[in-house]
Amino acid sequence: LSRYIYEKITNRQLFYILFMMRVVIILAILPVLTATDAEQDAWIASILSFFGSGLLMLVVVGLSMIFPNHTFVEYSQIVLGPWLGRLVSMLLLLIFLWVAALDIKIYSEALASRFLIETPVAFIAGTMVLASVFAAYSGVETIARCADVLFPVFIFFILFGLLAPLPQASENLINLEPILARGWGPVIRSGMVSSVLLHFIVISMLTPTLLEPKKILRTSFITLICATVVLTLITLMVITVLGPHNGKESNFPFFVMLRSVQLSEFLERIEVFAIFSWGFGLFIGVSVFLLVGAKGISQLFGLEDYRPLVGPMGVIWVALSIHAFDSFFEFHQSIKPHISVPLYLTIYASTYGVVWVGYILRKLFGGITVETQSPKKK
Amino acid sequence: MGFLKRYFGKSNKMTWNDQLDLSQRDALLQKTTLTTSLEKNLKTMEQIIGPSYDYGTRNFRTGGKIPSTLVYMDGLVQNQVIEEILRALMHLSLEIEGSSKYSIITAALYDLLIIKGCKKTGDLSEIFRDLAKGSVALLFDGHPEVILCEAQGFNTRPIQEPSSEIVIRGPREGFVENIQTNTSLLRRHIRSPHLWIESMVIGKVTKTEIAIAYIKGLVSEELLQELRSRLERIETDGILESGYIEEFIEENPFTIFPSILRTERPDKVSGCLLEGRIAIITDGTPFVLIIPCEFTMFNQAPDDYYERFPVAVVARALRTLSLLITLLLPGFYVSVVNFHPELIPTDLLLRISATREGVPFPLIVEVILMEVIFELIREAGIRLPSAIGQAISIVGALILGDAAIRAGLVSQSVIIIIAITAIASFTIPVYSMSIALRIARFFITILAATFGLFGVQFGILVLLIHLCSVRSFGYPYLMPLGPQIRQDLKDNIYKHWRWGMNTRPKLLGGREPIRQKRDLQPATTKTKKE
Repeated sequence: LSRYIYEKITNRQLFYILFMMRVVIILAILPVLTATDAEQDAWIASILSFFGSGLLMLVVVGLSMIFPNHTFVEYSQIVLGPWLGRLVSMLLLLIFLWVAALDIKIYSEALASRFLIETPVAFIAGTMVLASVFAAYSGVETIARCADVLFPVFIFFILFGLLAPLPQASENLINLEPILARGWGPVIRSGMVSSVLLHFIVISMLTPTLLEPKKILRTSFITLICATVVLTLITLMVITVLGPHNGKESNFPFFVMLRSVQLSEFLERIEVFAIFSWGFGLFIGVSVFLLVGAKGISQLFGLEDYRPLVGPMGVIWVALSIHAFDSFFEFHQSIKPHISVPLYLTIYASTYGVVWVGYILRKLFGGITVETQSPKKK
Repeated sequence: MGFLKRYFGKSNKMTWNDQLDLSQRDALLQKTTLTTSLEKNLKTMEQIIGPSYDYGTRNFRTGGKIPSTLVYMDGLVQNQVIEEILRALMHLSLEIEGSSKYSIITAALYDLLIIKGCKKTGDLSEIFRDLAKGSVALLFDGHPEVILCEAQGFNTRPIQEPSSEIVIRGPREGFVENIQTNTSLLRRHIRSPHLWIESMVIGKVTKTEIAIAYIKGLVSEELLQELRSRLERIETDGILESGYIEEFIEENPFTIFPSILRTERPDKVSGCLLEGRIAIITDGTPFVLIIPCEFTMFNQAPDDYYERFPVAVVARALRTLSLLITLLLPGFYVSVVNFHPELIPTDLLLRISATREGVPFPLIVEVILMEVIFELIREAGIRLPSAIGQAISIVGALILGDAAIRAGLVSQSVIIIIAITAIASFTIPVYSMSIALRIARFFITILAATFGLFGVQFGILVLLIHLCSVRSFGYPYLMPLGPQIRQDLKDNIYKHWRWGMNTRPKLLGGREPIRQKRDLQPATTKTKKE
C-alpha cells in the first residue's frame, strides 16, 4: 500500500520522544541539585537551564533547518567535504553511543541497587538493550508509536509523583528558604550542567524522517519548555520534601523523595512505579539512540539498510554501559560543572561548531551554494 | 522416455477414464464442449460426474416434439420449480421450432419459463458449478447450449443468535452458512445502492463463493485493490472456512494477535462498513472477516453502541481493566511475592505466606500448573457436548481446585489469582483475542518469575513494540493509541455519546470524514428555558 508513508514520524511524536528522553534522565539524577552546591536554589537553576539549553538547541536545530532533508551525517559531508565530514560524523556517532550507554548504566544501577540486588548489572542492561534492539529493528515508526502509547502513561506517573508528596511538601515549605543565599554563582553553574546534557542531538538525525521538517524549531522549543516546567516542579518538590542537603547527597533524589511518601497504610513504596515509568521513558530514549546510531553508521559507510547493524551495536552497547562508570561517586564527579561543562561544550564545538564554521565560510567565500546540492542517496 | 511417448503414445487425445488425475480431469472438462446431439451431451455429462447418487435427469419432450432433458442435483433444488418448468415446456402447444425467428432456447428464456433466474450457456464447467449451487439445467436436442434455471431449495440453518457473540441489547440475528442469506442480512441493514457486494470464486475443487462487501465511495479504493489482489493470488484446492482466507491474506503470519476481525453479527459488520472497512463473506461459514482491524476493536462489544453513554463507558473501562488483568495479574503476583515483598502491606503479606506454607513447589510452578489446568478444563469444556460440558468443567474445577488445596499442592492465593484472571479473560468480546492474550500472559508470567517487575516491564515493552510494528492491511494495528489520533479516541477505551461521534475513523473514513450533523446534542431542560 503505497499511500501509507513508511519511516515517517509526525512532529507530535518527535515531541513525545524528545520530551521523554530529556525528562527521563534529568528526573533520575536531577543534576541541578546533585551536581553543585546550589542546594535550595536548584529550582532557579532549572529555569536558567532553559536559556542555556535553548542556545545549544539553536545550534543543533539551526543546521537541521538549513538542511531539513538531511541527517547530520549527510550534511556534514556536504558542507565539509567527504573526509572531514565523515570524521565529524563519526565523532557524533560515538557520542550517541556514549550518551546512551551512560543512560543505560544509570538505569541499571538504580534498579540493581534497589530492586534486583542479586541480579548482575550486565543482565539488566542487556535486557533493556534487547528491548531497544527490537524497537530499533522495527524502525522509527514503531518507536514513535511506542512513544505515543507510553507518553500518557509516563505523564500519569510524573503527575502522580508530583501530586503524591504534596501534603508533605506543603508542611516543609521552609526548606526553600533562604533564596539565593550564596549568590548567583552556584545557581548559574548548576544551570549550565543541565543545559549541556546532550539528548537534543538526536534531532539532527531525526529531522529528515519528520512529516513537517520545517516546523522542527517549534517542536523542539515546545519540548524544551515543557521539559523545563516539569524539571522545575520536580526540583521544587524534591527540595521541599527532602530538604536541600538530603536531596543533594542522594543518588536518585526523585525516587528517594517518593520513597518517603506514604499515602496511606496501604500505599507505601510507590517509587517502584516511578522507576518503571522511568524505564518506559528510558526505553524510548535508548532505542532512538540505537536507531539513529545505526542509521548514521549505515549512511556513513553507504550501507543500504541499517538493520543488520542494530544487533551487534546492542551487544557493544551492553559492554560499554558496564564500563561507563564504576561507581556512582565517579559519575557524580563527572557531572560536576568544572568537568562536564567544558567536556560537553567541546563536543558541541567539535561537531556542530565545525559544521557551522564550514557552512558560514562556504556562504561567505562562495564556492558552491549548499542548499542546491542534491540529496545524497543513502 | 519422453520422446518415445511423443511419437508412440496416444497422449494428446484424452478421454474420460479412470486413469485421469484431478488436474487432468479439470483440463479435460475445460476442453469438452457440448454438441447438438442430446444423447451425446447426456453421455458426456454422465462421464464427467460419474455414477453420483444425487445426479438426477428427467427426459421429456418439449411441446410433444423436441426431445429434452432436465438435469439437477437431488436435494439442492425445489421440486415445485422443477414441476413448474416441466409443466411449461411439456404442455407447450405453440409451433416454435421450424420458424426461423425462434429457437427453443430463446423461446424458453423469454417466453416460457416463469422463473426468476435463467440464463443460457455452453460452458460445461459453469453448468456443473451452477448445478452444485442448486440450479436446473435444460438440454434440448439439436442445441449445443443449455438453459440454467435457479431452483435453489436446500435446507439451511435458520437465522439464530450467534452463540459466540451474545448481547443483552441489540439484534438477535447472526449470519448463517449460506452466503445468499448473509448478504441479504447485510442488505437489510444498509439499504443504500452504494453498498456493493462483489463476488469471486476461490478454490479449484470447492469453488467456494466469496463476497466482498463495502460501501462504494467511502472505502479506500487502494485498500480495495490491495484486497482484491491478495484474494486473486490464492490458488488452492479448497476454502472451507473464512479462517483459510484469513491466513492467506493477512500480513503478519507470526503474530499471536489476530489482525483480521471475524464476527457472526450483521450489525457489527454494518457498523464496520459504515466506518469504511471491508467485509469478506465466505460461503459455508457464518464467520465474516473484516479488514482492516485494530487492536481496540477487540475490546468493543456491540452492546456498547446500543446502551446509553454512562453504561457503555463503565463497560468499556471494565473491559480495559480486565484486559490488563488477563495479561498482567499472574505475572504481577509472582514478581511481587518473589522479588518485591516490601510492596505488599505487611498483613496481606503474612496472609499470603501463610497460605503458601507447606506448598512443595516454587511459586512459578504453582502458577503455571494452575494456569495449564485451567486451560485444559476450558479446552475440554468446548469440545464436550453442551449438556455435560458445563457440569464436567465445573465439577472438574471444583474437585481439582479444592482437592489441590487440601492436598497442599497449591495455595489458595494462587487459586484466587488464577480464577480472577480466568474470569477477566472471558470478558474480552472476541475469542481469538482472549486466546492471544493468554499466550502473552504465559510469556509475561515466566519473565516475571525470572526478573521480577523488571521482567514484567520488559514483557510489556516487547509486546508493545510488537503491537506497534504490526499492520493490518497497511493500517497501524494500534491505531488510535499509537499513532495517537486524538479524534478517534472517542470510540476506544472511552466511548462518546452517539451525538458526539461526528467523524469516521481518520485513516479509514478519510474520504467522507463527517458521518453526521454536528450539534445533534439534545436540548436539555436548562437550555430550553433560556
